[in-house]
Amino acid sequence: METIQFKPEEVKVEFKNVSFYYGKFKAIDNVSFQLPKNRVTAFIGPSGCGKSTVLRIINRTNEIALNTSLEGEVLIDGVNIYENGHDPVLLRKRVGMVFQKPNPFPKSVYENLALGPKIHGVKKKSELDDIVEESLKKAALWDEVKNNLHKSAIQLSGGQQQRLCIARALTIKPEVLLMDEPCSALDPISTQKIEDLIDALKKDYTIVIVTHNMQQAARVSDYTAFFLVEETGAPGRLVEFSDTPTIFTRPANKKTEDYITGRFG
Amino acid sequence: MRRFHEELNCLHQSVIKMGCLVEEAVRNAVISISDPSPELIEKVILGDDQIDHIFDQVETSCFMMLAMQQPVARDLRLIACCIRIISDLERMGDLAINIVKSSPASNDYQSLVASDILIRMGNAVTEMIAESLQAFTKWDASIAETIEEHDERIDRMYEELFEQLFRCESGHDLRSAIKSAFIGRFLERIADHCVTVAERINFLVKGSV
Repeated sequence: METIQFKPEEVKVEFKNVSFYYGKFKAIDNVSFQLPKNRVTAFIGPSGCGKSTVLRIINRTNEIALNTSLEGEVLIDGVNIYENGHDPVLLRKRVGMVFQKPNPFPKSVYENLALGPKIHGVKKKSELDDIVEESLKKAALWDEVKNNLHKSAIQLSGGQQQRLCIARALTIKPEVLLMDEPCSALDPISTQKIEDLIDALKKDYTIVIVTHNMQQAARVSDYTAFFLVEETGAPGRLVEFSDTPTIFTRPANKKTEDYITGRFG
Repeated sequence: MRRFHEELNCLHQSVIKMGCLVEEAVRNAVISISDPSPELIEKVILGDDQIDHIFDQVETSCFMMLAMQQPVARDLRLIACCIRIISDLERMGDLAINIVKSSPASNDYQSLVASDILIRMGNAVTEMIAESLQAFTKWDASIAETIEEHDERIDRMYEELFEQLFRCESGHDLRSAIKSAFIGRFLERIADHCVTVAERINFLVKGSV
């Protein structure tokens, strides 16, 4: 398997021989890679190859499904997040997530953003106001909603809702941002805004994006991981992890090349 | 996606066809060095229109595919390679015309000075084109080194040609000697284009230059 070894100080997240099971079904097998800090890494691969599973392992949201188990080690800043005593709620504060379909709470724009900080103990109104404004500015949504902060978030357009969800993820100051097909339900202009946003956010966050859109992976990411299921019922495996220009001009593995050029999958 | 891959196959085939026409033009141009047949000259000159036509077609379809399909990996390399190879092939076609225009049949002298060296050079250059096309057809990167060696041989023949021209006794037709020097230069340029084509094929296969 072709992969990259980063310097220890550059690594934010590391998978060491990770296998994951839903009951008896092995969803991913022996996956190892490193995600560098302040970089965007794209996960690509056909449906069912385990890329979303790998993504959800990083903030332990897979555990919400019953009867799951994990082998191997997942390290953030060198600490195993699956060790006994590691609090998944605190982990999810450090590792934010944005989903395929925008999912704002049916509340005002302001409340969507203030909720997370409130839960984590911020009480002062002025401090909450600052967090709301800062997050909306970071998510490039402030100018569009600043005069309607108390309007229902549901009334925003799809693209605005998705940026709101990104802003909401930023309110609790995560270190890692996971994005599971964040643009698949958006039009090209909203998609471009999210992609510009990803580019702007990487200076402060380590970003992982799952996407089915090859061109999007090529445009937004610094590194690309290609996952594949060899046959039906088999677990997903990491085939190649490389810098994005290499993956899209001269991938080392023929399976990667066949996939990105549309010769299978 | 399937249609795109069919288009890519067509693109590959069109460039091979263009290469075959160029090879034929250079072969005929080399024959015209010793065979002063006006039909041959006409064939080379008219054949160039077809070469230029394929050039335009290939160039247009490459830009269309880049815009419409956002190709990556081997597909991207093939398109990039084709865009660059066709420029070299087109220039080789023009150089073949330059050769026939310098040949005895296009001028009022009987034969060229040092025509034996020119014919040897010409045959070697034609062989280089054929080998490059074979490599392009088969996606074979090993050609680059062989082509380099051929090019060095051509350069040595080119020097040999000049030594012979410098030794020419007075009384030789000066115009014919100058034309020989030009033809030598045209053949040497064609060989250089073959080297570039081989480098492009290396990029096509390996993804690095």
